[in-house]
Amino acid sequence: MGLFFRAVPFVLALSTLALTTRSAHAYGFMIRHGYGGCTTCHTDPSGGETLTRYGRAQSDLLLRMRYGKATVSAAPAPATESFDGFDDFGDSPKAEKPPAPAPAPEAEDAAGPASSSGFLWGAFAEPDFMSLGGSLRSASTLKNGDFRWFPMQADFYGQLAFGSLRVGGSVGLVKTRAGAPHGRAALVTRGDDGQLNMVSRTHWLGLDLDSRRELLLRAGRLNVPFGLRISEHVMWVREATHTDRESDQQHGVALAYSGEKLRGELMAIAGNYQLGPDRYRERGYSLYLEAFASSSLAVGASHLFTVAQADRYSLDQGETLRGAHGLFTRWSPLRPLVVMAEANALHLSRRDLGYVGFVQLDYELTQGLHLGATGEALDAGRARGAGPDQPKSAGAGEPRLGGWLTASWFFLPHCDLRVDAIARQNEAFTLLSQLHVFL
Amino acid sequence: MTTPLKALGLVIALTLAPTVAAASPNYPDAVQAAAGSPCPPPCTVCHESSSGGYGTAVKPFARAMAKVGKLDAEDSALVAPAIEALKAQATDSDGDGTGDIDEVAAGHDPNRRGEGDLCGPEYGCGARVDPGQRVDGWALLLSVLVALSLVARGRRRRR
Repeated sequence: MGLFFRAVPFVLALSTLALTTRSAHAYGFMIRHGYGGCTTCHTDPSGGETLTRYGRAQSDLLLRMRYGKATVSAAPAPATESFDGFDDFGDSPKAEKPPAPAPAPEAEDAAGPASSSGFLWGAFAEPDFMSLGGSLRSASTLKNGDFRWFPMQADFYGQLAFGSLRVGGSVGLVKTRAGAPHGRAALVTRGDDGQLNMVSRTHWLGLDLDSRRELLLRAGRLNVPFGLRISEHVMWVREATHTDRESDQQHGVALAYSGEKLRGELMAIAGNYQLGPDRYRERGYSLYLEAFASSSLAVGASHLFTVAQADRYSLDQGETLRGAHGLFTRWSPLRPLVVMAEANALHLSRRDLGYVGFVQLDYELTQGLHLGATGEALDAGRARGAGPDQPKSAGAGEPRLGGWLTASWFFLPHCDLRVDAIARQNEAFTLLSQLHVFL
Repeated sequence: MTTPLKALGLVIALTLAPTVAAASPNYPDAVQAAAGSPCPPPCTVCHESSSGGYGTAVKPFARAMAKVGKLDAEDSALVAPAIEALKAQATDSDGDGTGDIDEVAAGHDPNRRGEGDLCGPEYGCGARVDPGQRVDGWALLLSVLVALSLVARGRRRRR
């Protein structure tokens, strides 16, 4: 109880600050530990948000700094090429599968997950059918000598599982401005510009179609299955393909497969019913398929195609066909190093063909402390339309380049601090820092 | 002090100690106020994409604004004089016979021949959070007490 009372003021203080928007975490770099799939640690088959009980334990054992206690990340990689460690560690509902050894059980024996790894730092023990979570994120930017602090995210999310039936979703609070590129597409309430609003990024009903829980059929508002599910929603690969987890979700029906050597998800997109009128809703499909060549190398492909009667981004009123097609990979050549890359071709009505891509290196200096470097490129194609032809510019007819240097410190259970130095063509140099607490 | 507590202290100092900055410049609001549009126009009325950024304000309306006014991304007060100048000159960037500012005032896109739509979709499902709603202190206290008692009960059961 004491821990709870110590945690409550901290959580409440951050809650009062958290008024705008951004989405949570999904760490593709966990492939360094042999976790190529997502269902081991997340309830969403393609990763992100709600953690399974096993995922919480791994967050405590593998991600956070342990301050002298035995660490798992620093230990040598287990000498195995077996895929046993990929998707076989489901939490309790996945009991039909034979139990497989954890990636580094010796370290777990030496210093197992702390009791604080549970929901609300262990203050509340969820029943078996329930997985709860939440994210509070505050950020500051330093740009052109101008320092700003702003709350980014205040979300509560979870999943209930009754046999093969699942219910999941998220609710949160945001404050967005008219014209803002992010946040508004997930609004539930419709307050005025700058007012507090309720947001729901995902809400869905799901049905496990087989006893091994490898096939999951879901209907509702879902993350669009496309490319690498990274936490940086402003990275151009997510922004230009409109597939971030911040507010780009769509309503529809999706079938996910989470196997040992292959995973993927296909979604029939019915449109985002949290915006209107109907002509702005995109309908079509999106999918990705990722294969594991080994326990440390995954390669995938993505494809997206939608049609709307008007483009909600450019506000062009003609029929708008949008597509993105690409490849991605995650590779951990050494335990501390993970390389992630994605490249997509882009097409959009009334625009020339374009492309977007990124390469990201993540190096775990010591457990809990990550250094990263990212290079990105974007050319969304020059706009052609009803008005005068626009000149080519960086990002629209000409390549636009950007680079990120990142330091992430998972300094306490449920807490991490991230600092990014972002240099992008035609943008002022930005120093971004984020403090993230998950419940 | 233990190492984790030192780490927590350092993080709090790094992220929360600086004062909160002043309000950000707001071009869409400034355009709405100066031109009388029915909504704050989207970033894409000037910029290549909704992400904005220097050098991406290449739309015809943005180029017309830059021609008649000295614009600075950090100073939205410069928007109104540029709007007034465009209005005085009856600038028609898309050449559809209606001046840019008249189009903006009518909620039409000044970059597109014809009417276009400057305001775009509406977001949210319709309900509103009442900004003037007072929080009932007793209700809040009661909610907190109920939550704490549920948590305490849950922990007792675990033991």
